[in-house]
Amino acid sequence: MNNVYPHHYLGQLNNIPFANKPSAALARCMPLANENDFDVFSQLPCSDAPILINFIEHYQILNELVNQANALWDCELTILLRISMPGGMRLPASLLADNVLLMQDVEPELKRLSGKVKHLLVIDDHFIRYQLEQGDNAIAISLFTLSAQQNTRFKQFIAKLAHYNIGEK
Amino acid sequence: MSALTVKSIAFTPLKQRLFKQRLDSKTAFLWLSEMIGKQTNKVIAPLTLNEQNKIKRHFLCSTMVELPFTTGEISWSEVASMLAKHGPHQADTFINAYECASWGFSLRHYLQHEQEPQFLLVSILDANIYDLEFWRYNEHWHESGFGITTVLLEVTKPVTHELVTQCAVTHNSMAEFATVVRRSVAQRDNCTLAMPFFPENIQQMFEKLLANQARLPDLHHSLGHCFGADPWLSILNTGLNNSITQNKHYLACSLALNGYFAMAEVTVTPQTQFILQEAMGYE
Repeated sequence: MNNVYPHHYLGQLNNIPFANKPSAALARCMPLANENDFDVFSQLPCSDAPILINFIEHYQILNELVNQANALWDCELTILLRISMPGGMRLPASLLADNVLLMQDVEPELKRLSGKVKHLLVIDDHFIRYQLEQGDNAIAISLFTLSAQQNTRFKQFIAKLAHYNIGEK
Repeated sequence: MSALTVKSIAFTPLKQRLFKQRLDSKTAFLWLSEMIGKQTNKVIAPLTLNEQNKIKRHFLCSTMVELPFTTGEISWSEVASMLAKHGPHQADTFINAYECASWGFSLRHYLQHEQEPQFLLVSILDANIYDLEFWRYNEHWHESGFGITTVLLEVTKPVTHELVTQCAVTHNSMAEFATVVRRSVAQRDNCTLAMPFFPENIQQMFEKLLANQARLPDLHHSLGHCFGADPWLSILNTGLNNSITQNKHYLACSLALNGYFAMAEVTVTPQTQFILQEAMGYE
């Protein structure tokens, strides 16, 4: 078994990520057509966390994080991202690349790949983009690496989060 | 011969109205996981114990099963525990972000990390748990078809060109998809297309853009649009209707609403197992 060096960060989206920029209201509800539809939606749990982000902004942040991670760890990086569905819109190309896997729950894959790939980056955010999503606007980022000298790069990566009003929890 | 051989395809249709009365997510998934678990066990039954030990992965994919997770009614780990009770080769990873193309992106991810000869399973679950009208019928694909599909694949050698995963770059993803399919199938020998099921107007587009390509029949009129399962149901239908006496090659193609698409060239052999189970609903 390889030696795995883990790095962890826990953060919180504290405010809207792009201050002074207008944000489109993109949350859409699927068309409700009959009594049952309305009944179901009236009973679904809804989150009480504030909605600070829309789909475009969420994917913009993930896109920038993935691009930065690819630049920092070059081509030896595997990325697991939590994405809750419905996705609202087409994802940017960087998130569909072959070193990225998008999942509802990253945990099973994290267990499989940690120690198996050179650098495994896991971005597990629970930002809510509309009221029916459950989340607390928290984000957990982890790097599981086989290389002992990745602390500086990880810190460099994490430093970017402050640009989006994400602070350490 | 493709590096991906289809060993088995099973389909359990699910009734339009799945539950007589609304169930909580836990009860619904207990029942669904039993269906998935039983289907998986049936699919792998013909494998020897040695072969079963070579089953390396089992992905569960879906297009429409999202609300129970998104709203926090149930978690994937709870569903995975329910599935695990049905045996050692049950799905442990849930992929739905790529919508109908989720099976292809799951395979891509897996093959990035494993290339040794072995077996893998992909199940596709599309169940209208809340009986929402949008999922029964909508303007994008008209009638939906619901069910549980499991495909057992054998990876016989390193996969090179067999799998294509892409995303449309235009917003006319249907025509773009058809064009990529045409280009992709032209590079392959004796490969028949297994396309997603769509209503008449979209079928006509495929008719025109894929006029010179061999295609399996569209089953929208009888099954509805069955999301990522369509190409596999197309192959299943052929296998059940015609006895396959020699190896046949298919390009299984799926397109997601947001423009993601997946294609896999697969070989079906006279030994491929085809299982069509009776339609199920929770009584």
